[in-house]
Amino acid sequence: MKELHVKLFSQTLENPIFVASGIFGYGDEYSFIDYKHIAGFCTKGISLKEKKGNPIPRIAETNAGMLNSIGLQNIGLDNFLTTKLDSLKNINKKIIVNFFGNTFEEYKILAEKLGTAKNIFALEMNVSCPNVKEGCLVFGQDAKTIFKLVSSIKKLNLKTPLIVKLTPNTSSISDIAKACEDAGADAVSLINTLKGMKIDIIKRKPYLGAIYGGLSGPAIKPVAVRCVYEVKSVIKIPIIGIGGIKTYEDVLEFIMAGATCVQVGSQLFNDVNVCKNIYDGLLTYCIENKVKISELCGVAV
Amino acid sequence: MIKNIEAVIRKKTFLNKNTVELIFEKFEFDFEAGQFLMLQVPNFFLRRPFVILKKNNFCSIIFKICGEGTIKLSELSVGATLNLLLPLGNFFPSPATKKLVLIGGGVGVVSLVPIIEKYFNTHELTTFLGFNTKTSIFYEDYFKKHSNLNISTDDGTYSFRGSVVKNFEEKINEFSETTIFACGPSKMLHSLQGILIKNNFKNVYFSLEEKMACGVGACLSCAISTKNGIKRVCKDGPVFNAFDLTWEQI
Repeated sequence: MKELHVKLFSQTLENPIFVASGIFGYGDEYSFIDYKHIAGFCTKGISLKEKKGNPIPRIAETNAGMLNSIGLQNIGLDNFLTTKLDSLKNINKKIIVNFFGNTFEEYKILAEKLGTAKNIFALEMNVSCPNVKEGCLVFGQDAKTIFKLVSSIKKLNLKTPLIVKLTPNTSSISDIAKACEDAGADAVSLINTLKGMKIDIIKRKPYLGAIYGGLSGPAIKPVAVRCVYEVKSVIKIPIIGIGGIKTYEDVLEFIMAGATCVQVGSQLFNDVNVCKNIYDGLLTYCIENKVKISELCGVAV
Repeated sequence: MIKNIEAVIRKKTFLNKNTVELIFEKFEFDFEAGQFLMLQVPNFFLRRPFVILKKNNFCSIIFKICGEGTIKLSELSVGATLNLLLPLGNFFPSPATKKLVLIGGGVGVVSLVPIIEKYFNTHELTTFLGFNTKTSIFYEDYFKKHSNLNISTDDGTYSFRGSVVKNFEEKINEFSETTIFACGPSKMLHSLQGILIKNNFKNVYFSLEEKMACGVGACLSCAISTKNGIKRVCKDGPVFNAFDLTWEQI
């Protein structure tokens, strides 16, 4: 349906709907739903070495959302390249490979290896992790650090476009976004989860095994839309909107605030048909309003 | 194939003050004993997992009221629609022996029902059910009809006084060439595992429970430690070979 076509990285996407990282794993588990309603999905974040993740409980339900502290459990780069890449190629969708590191060197190795793999639509760099060589300050919370990091990745001259996934847990997300653009990032995706926690009032201790977790779900949507709107005012590279998307109206908010396309995340746990419902709703909206979705990008800014 | 079903409540029964049985109007579905479904509770973000039961060809669930979601569920009326995702997870393997002992603690007893349904005609069934107190008991007649039943209550208000594990241990010598299926709180299963190792049991399977989000193996919320690495309770389980479980934190 041409009304829903959007352009990203010089390619035409059949619609603006992606599934966010951490939701679909590496694409094996959700084959029972129809992929025709999504343009593609982001893989679970990959690190250099295999990561076991955090002690349980790893999740907690909240009002209109959930906390997660999975702890970035993943099979590691080598296992990903040898066991998952091939089956991803067979899924006829745009695959965005999400990755993260603990040091600049790790990010570079990952980007280099993943950036040369075939049939990957884009790389999405998760910068919500602590820099273990610099006092564990989160990469994505400092504009100078993020500029340095993104520059070093772009210097590798990879053909695969680089998206930087921004954390909202920072004093100025637009400064971070500007730094990414200045350093050569091809796009930014925002927002990652909001830092939160829950206290177990029976045990009188933090509820999550790792104490802190990331808040996602409809509760964070107003924060996410605000971030997209702020970032749109300061950069020209594409924005991918993420955060609490549940309905087609939510998607319209993100697009009108400046997003080219969006990622749907934890709502999938609640409703496996969320992408279909969004797709149908967007299509109906475009037909009734005689408009193409791409024409709405940033109209509210 | 995993299906998404809009199921209508046909009947609601309070089996006791805190235990509810919901039977749904007929819909087509397949499942194996031990599999579960993820149920969407209206106005709650995460689905809840429940063991799949089949009563007179109708899909049903039995749950304990233990939190906001189950309180809400217990207040719904006949005619209400609930969204189900099923069947999920793996299932109990075919017993290697003719003698089958089922051990259940609290709401874990529900996991034993589909096993009874499947094997009561073909295998020699003995069940050990443990409850906190007399008023927590449910389905006693059902288990008595289809198996050699042993009930225990922690506070001794009915039948054997003590834990279900203690009840089983006192009769353990009656069970050679036996397959064991168990479900209940982690402490109970951990304690049971120790006793079974000590007594050289071989064919033992536990059904576990963990907090879940996706229910299909994608999000890694329900990860546990086993001798074969980290496993997902929703996809690699909920049924595990008991001797693979380490009970260690990740």
